[in-house]
Amino acid sequence: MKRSKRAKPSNHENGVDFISNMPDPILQLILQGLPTTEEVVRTSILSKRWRYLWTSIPHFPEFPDGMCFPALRFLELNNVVIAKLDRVERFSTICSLLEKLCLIDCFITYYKLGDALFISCPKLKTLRIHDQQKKGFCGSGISAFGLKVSCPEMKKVSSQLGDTICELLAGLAHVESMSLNHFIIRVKTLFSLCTVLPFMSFICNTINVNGERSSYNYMLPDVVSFVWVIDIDRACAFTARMGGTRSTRNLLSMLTFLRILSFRYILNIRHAKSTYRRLKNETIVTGKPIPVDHACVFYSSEAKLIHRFTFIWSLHSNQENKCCRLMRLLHTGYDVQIRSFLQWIGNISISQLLTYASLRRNAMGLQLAIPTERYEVQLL
Amino acid sequence: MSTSSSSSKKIVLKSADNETFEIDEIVALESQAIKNMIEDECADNVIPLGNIDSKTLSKIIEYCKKHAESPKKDDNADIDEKAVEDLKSFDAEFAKVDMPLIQDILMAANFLNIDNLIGLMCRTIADRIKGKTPEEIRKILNINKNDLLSPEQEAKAREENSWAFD
Repeated sequence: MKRSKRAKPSNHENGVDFISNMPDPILQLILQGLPTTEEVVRTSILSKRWRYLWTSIPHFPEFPDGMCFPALRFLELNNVVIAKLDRVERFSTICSLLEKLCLIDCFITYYKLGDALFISCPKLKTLRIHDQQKKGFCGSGISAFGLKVSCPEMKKVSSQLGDTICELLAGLAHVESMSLNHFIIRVKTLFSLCTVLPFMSFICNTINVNGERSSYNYMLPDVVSFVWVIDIDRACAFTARMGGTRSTRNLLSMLTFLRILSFRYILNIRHAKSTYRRLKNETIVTGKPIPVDHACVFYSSEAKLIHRFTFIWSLHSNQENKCCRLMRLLHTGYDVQIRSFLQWIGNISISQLLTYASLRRNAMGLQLAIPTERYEVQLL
Repeated sequence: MSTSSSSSKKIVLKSADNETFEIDEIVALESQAIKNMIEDECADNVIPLGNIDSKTLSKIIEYCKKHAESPKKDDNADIDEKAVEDLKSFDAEFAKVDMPLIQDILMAANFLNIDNLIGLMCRTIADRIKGKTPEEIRKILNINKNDLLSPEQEAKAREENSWAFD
């Protein structure tokens, strides 16, 4: 058919910069059709419209060896699909000065088994991996990738990715804060965390140990010096789901640096009993709310401090040696119990102690704060 | 169009130059925009496409017909290899048009929301500009002179990513 009654001349003939007026997604599609990354980047000089377009495309044809952003210190990739995880590995050479790396909604649902995100930027201080749209890892289970981090200057790691296998975090000696959510952490990894990261604040929600599912949290908050806190929520769900305590025991036996262990909502004490026996000397075990009859769980032949704890407590209270009672009274917030607790604490031979998160929350407005060598109680 | 759809519902499109095209609904469904209109029951009358001329529209209908006839990828697992090849060669042939028409088709496909066609046109444009110098690309894309970077800006852009220019 002839265009005899054309409403308007063709844009092109009209001299209109038609392509440049197209929306970004269209231009990004065009860029993605270019065969090399160099060509994609070279479009930055075409015009003002094209100046930064290349930076927004979801993936480049490849990361060529010569490609580098030597001055880049902060890189946030938001909704950039990283189809091949090994591409991130190249960031260490591409962006050698990178200090902060945020990967947000960058991951597809399935990677090959054994795929791992290996991050080794020498200057990286902050790593943030989030999946805000929840399209990625939730429910993807074992097919999710592993995370391997080796950044000597790393200060902060946070991630909300689900079901990510934390294989190895080596060289994180200076990490100050780590927040992981829904991670599978292998016992081996947790062990290396304990040895490598003595000064770390480590908060993990819903970690799977040994790849087995559990529904509780380990939290290792406020770690001061070489004192470790592990705070296990809803351990009953753990034992139930793990089909026994074998895995718990395995985990705890690895935590050789553990100094304070706090359990909450422990219901299945019988199972837990054998678990705690593995704890090191000087381990403080606390728990709430624990049925009184099951308090014997804390009589661990190896954990001397537990004995001392209960002993001192009975001096003050003239009660049975049931440490859970102490915790119960603590939760009522009476002064006398707090004092008793403090006196007990005063006998602890550990030179430094920690701000004890669960106490802070539960001690009825009392906060235990341990700035240096002695403990003080602050009235909030 | 195939005989089986002869009894199916028809959709009438009207181009900017007032030419009308009657097509099967199944063909129209290739366009997400028209599909939405059909679902919203706004497609009973003639659908005016005030920004698409008849030459472009007939090209697009040709594309949609072919793709509507072809078995969809997710229809069944063992797709006819031949059909896939056939569609590929059709696409390749379809894209052998001049730049102005490609741009018109791209704009129309974007307006009608035909993902496959948008992709095809973008790939075609990429093919035409690949391996070309910036000056050649500007000419191909008809980039407005007023929008060019200043020499200083261009030098800066080159410097920022010198590895890509060398």
